[in-house]
Formats: sequence, C-alpha cells, structure tokens
Amino acid sequence: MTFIKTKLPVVVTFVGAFIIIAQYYFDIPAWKTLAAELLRWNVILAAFALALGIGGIVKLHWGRIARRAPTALYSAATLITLAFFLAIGLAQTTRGESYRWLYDYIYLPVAATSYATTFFFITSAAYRAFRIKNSYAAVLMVSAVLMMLQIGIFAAFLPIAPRIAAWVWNIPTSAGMRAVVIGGALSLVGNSFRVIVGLERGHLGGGE
Amino acid sequence: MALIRKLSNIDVRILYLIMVVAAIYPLLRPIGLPLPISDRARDAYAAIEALQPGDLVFFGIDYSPTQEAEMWPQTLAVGHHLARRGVRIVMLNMIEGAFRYEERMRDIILAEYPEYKYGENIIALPFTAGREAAFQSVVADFKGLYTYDLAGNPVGSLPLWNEIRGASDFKMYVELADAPDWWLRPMSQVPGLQLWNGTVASGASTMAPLYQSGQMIGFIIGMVGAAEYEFLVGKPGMAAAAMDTQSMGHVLIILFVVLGNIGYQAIKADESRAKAKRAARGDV
Amino acid sequence: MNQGVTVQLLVLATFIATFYISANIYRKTGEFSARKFEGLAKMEEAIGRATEMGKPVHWSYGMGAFDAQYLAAFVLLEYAAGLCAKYDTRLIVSIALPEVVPMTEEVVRKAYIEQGKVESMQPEDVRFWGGSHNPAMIGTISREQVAGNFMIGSLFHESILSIEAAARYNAIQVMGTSNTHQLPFIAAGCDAIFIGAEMFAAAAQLDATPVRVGSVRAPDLITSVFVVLMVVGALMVTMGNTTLKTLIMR
Repeated sequence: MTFIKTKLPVVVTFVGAFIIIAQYYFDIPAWKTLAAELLRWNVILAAFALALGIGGIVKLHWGRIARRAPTALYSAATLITLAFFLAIGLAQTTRGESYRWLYDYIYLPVAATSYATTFFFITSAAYRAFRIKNSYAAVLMVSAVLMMLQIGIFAAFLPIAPRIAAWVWNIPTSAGMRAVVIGGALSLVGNSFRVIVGLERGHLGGGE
Repeated sequence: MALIRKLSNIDVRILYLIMVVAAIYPLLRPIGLPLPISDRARDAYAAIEALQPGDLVFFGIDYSPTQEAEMWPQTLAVGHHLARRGVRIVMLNMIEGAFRYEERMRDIILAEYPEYKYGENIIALPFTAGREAAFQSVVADFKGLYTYDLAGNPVGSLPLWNEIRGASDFKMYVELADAPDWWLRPMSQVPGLQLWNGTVASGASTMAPLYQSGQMIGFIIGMVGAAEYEFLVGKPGMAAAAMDTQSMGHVLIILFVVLGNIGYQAIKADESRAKAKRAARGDV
Repeated sequence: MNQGVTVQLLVLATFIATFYISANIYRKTGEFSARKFEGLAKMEEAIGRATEMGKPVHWSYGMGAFDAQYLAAFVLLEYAAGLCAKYDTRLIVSIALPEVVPMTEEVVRKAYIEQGKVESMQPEDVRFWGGSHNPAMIGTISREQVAGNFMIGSLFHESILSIEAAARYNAIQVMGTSNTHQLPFIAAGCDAIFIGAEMFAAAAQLDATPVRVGSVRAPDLITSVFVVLMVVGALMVTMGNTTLKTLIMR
C-alpha cells in the first residue's frame, strides 16, 4: 500500500516527465508519438479534475445541510442549481436550446457581474489601501498615474501623455517584468524538478 | 487639518456613487474624447493585414466570462479583420466557459461574410481541458487531439480538416486570452508560426517582454486595445463607446488615490509632531 | 537534436548539476543564508495582533491552477498554522482547487500536531469553495473581521478583492505570487509581499533541507550567469557583434 501511495506516483511522475521533456530536446519519432499520447491522456485527466470539483462542492455543501449550518439554505440553493444545470447539460449537451439560454442569460451575466464588483473594490482600494508608505510605493504610484494618462481626456489636453506612457511601458516596466519572469521561471524549474525526481512529496501527503 | 481629516475619511458609498455616475453618464451622453491610436495597435493591425487569402490561422478564444467586457470587443474586431483578409480560420478554445464566445464569433463570420462556408474555410473546435498541456497536445499532435468539432460533427467530414497536416501548416496563432503566457510557451515551439495576442489590461506587463523580444508579432491590451482596433478595422463598437467611461474612471481613480494619500500623509505628519512633542516633554 | 534547443539543454544540465552540488554542500556544511524576508516577520506580527484582538487569520492560495507555487505555499501555510496553533488563534483557509484540499488539511493538521494542539484544530475552517471562492472569501473576511490576511500561491484578480475586503478591518496583509500581473496590486495594497522566487527562498529559510537549499541556490547561480550574459550580449550587440546572440539561439 505504501508503494502505491508514495513510490508509484513518483515513478509515474518521473517517467511521464522524462518522456515529455526528452521529446522537446531530441528528435526521436517513437518518443514523440509516446509523448503526444501522454499529453492526450493528460487532457482526459484534466477533464476529470473538473468532475472532481463537483464532488468537492457536493461534499462541502451537503455537509452544511446535514449539520443545519446557518448558511444551509444557501448550500441547498447551490446544490439545486448544480443539479439543475447538470441535468439540462446531460440531457441536451451544450448545444441544447435550454442549456444555451441558461448559459447566456444566467451564467454569463452573473459571472461578468461578479467580476464587475472589482470596479467598486478598485475604487475603495484607490482611496483606502493604495498608500504611499515609502519611496518604492511613490515610484509605483507615479508610474501608475503616467500609464493612466495615455487615453481620452488626458491625451486631449496633454498630447505628450501617450508617449510618456509608452516609454514607461516599453522601458522600465518591461525591464522589471523581464527580471521577475526570469527569476520566477527558474524557481519554478527548480521546484518542478524536485517534484519530478521525487525529492518533493508534499502533494502526496509526505515531506521530502 | 480638520478638512484634511474629513477628506481622508469619506464614506466609501459616496465614492461608489460618484464612480457609478461617472461610468454611466458618458454611456448615455457620449463626450467624444479623442482616442489616440498607439503604434503597438497599428503594428498589430499591420501583422494581420499582411496575411494572404487562404493562409491558415488559429483563432484562440480563451477567456472566461468574467473578462467578457474587455475581451469580447477584441474578439469582434479581430474576428472581422481575419474574415476580411479571407484567411482559413480554425477556432480553438482551452478555457471552460468560453465556448459560447467561440460559437457566437463563428456564427457572426458565417452570417456577415458569404464567402465563408463552415467546414471549407472555417472550423470551430470544442473545449479542450488541460490548459498548457492542451496547447502542448496541439503542437505535438493536433489532428489526433480532436474527433468532433464544436457542433458535434465528426472532424473527418470537414474538408478543411482534411487539408491540414499539423500545427506547422499554420501561418499565425491569434490568441485572445485572459491569462498571460501559458499558451505562448507551447505554441512558440512550432517553427514559423507567428504569435499574435490580445489580452486583458492586467496581463499587459507580463507580455511586454515577450512582445519586445519579437516572440509575438502583434499585441493589443484590454478595452483600450479593443477600441483602437475597432477604429483601425473601421467598426467602432462597444469598446469605443466605453472609452469615455474609462477616461472618467481613470480621472476619478487618480483623484481618489491623491485624496487618500493627502489625508494619510497629513495624519502621519500630525502624529509625528505629536510624538515629538511628547518626547520633548519627557512623557512616556 | 531538435533545432534551437542546444543551449537550453546545456542550461538545464547546468541547473541540475548546480542543484545537486549545492544540496551536497549544504548537507556537509549546514550553511545557508538568505536575507530576512519582511513577509515572514509580518506574518508573525499579524498572527500576534490577531491573538491580542481575538480575531482569526485568513489564508488563501488564490484561484490559479496547481503549480510549483503551491509547494512553497504549503511550507508557508505550515509556518502560519504553527504560529496560530501556538498562540491559539483561529486560522481559516479558503480553497478554490479540489485537489489541494487533502494536502491543506494534512499541512494544517501536521502544524497543530507539532505544537501539541491537534484537538484545537477546527477541520471546518479548511473550506473548499471551488468557483465561488472569491465571494466566499470576501464574505469570510467580512463576517469574521480578520486581523491578518495571507494569500500566497497562484493569484489572479482575487488578490485585489481580498486586499480591499481585509483593508476595511485594518488587517495586516501578506501576499506572494509568481504571477507577475498581480504584483502591482499586491505591492500597492499589502504590508509585505513575496515576489516570485522569494516565496521559495522563504520556504527554504523556514525549513532548510538540502533539497530546498539546492532548489534556491541553483536558480540564484544561473540567474547570475544570465545577468553576465545579458550585459556582455547587450554590449556586443550595441557594437554590432551578434556572435553571442547567434550562439544562444542554437
């Protein structure tokens, strides 16, 4: 059992990763075919992970209903909505009229609106949370203001504003981002390497 | 000082009300503020303009419904441009929730451009899970990845599908994505494939180095990019209409940042002075 | 060999070699130093403040896909959970990805066990929300009026939502991500942040093992080499010589 829980996942991870990485560097047709097949399997696994999410949601909210938690009513609404969408989707597929209607007139507007609440959060964050506490924050704020000056009302009165904004974007922003991306990428390589060779087993419930 | 303290303690509901009015007013009574077209948008337009009729182009629609406001206007503008160039379009979708945008764009192209016949010069492929791994699959074995198209037709029945051998047949990958670079890493492995990207405003800084290094041939950002592209394509639409609102929003955000910081710095200075006075008096 | 990947393979081989050498050096000498991370100090301060106020502390990984950032986040969560267990402060964890739930429960339980306080751990405070993570997180922060807010992992636009929600209650906020598009928001709104690789270095600092030290030192050394190459390459290209550029593109 220990082998299945701890050692087998490491072996599978290493073999799969080795094949995918090796086919990137070496032109061996058999390897490329195997890698393509593994990538297709990954697509199937990813689809099942979405289903795993459904199981998690049901478990969480059913638990709340069973415990008669204060938010049990909302949990019930969640599960009923989930069941309803699932039933319509399974009966009609995503091409069915009812499914499309629900999607277009309920899901899409609700999703877009929930993101639109960021509008209010940005407003109060601008007023309350974005504080110039040190010189770095001051530089950040000035840069942000310069970037915002490039459109509309500012461009009308300050023709140089878009050019300043373009310079800020092209030179200091890109330079800083380049550094962060390179540093972050190398760290991700390091940590991914640890997972691939089995030196990191946190995701399996163990340590190293 | 009392006034400054008051300014730093405004009820946020008043600020929300001001923002809502500033956002809605220009939509009802457009101000008509100018929109300068950036060099970046012009270069992006030129990149697609350089495509020849019959060129194979991937058209990736990979944003979630939460990003609809910024990305759907981009989709419309870029979709119209691609259709006008007469390229052969293969639409992809790797984000759950984006399939309706793909369907709508496909239907718009088929309705407005009679030269486009589904299956002959335009195909829409279904959602593929896995994100970066899905793109890797497209690169490694594009034809092996799909069995049916978005409408449920077997891909083998589509003439355009049978003309394609693999990802390397394509001239350009036009990707409209809300997340920055997980599509670019795999697709940059296809030799000769030009990469063109439209993304949300917050993803712009991440993609900036990739655009500057020449890994991407065209790049538009957020609703401003969509508005610029709409003007370049000659179809001003939702994004152009929203530019006045965006301008007003930016003005107010800058004002609120300044107001908040004036109050913060004043209160901080006040507290420092009070602390210094107490220290001078020898108070604990 | 495929075209254009020779130098990349060389870099990868160098990286692996550097990793093992660094890990072995640490195994022999036990010496590892990294600069102090303000984020770790702020996390402790936040938990201390939460204890004084009798308020909980909130943790989230963000909504991004499971990647290496979560591995660093697990170590930092274990640190935070350990402090919360030590000071008897409530820790509420909001999770968006289902595959992370068992690992999170394990990490938190382990931290409480190490403090000898496993009976005070509340399993219902590790909350899986899925797609409704953002409104649920805001609701949690608002209802509980958290005194500390930590978001470390693959962050997207939920970072600004969390910052603002917690700022209303003057919570001490510490965030960290490798997602560059969120860095401006967390830099502007948080008390301390971890930028990209700092998360991994902080995790190594908290719990230095040969593996963690190796995976922090190797990127550092490779980055130093890259900086030298960039400076030399930029000078060469400026003077019209593209030899280095052509060599690297092989």
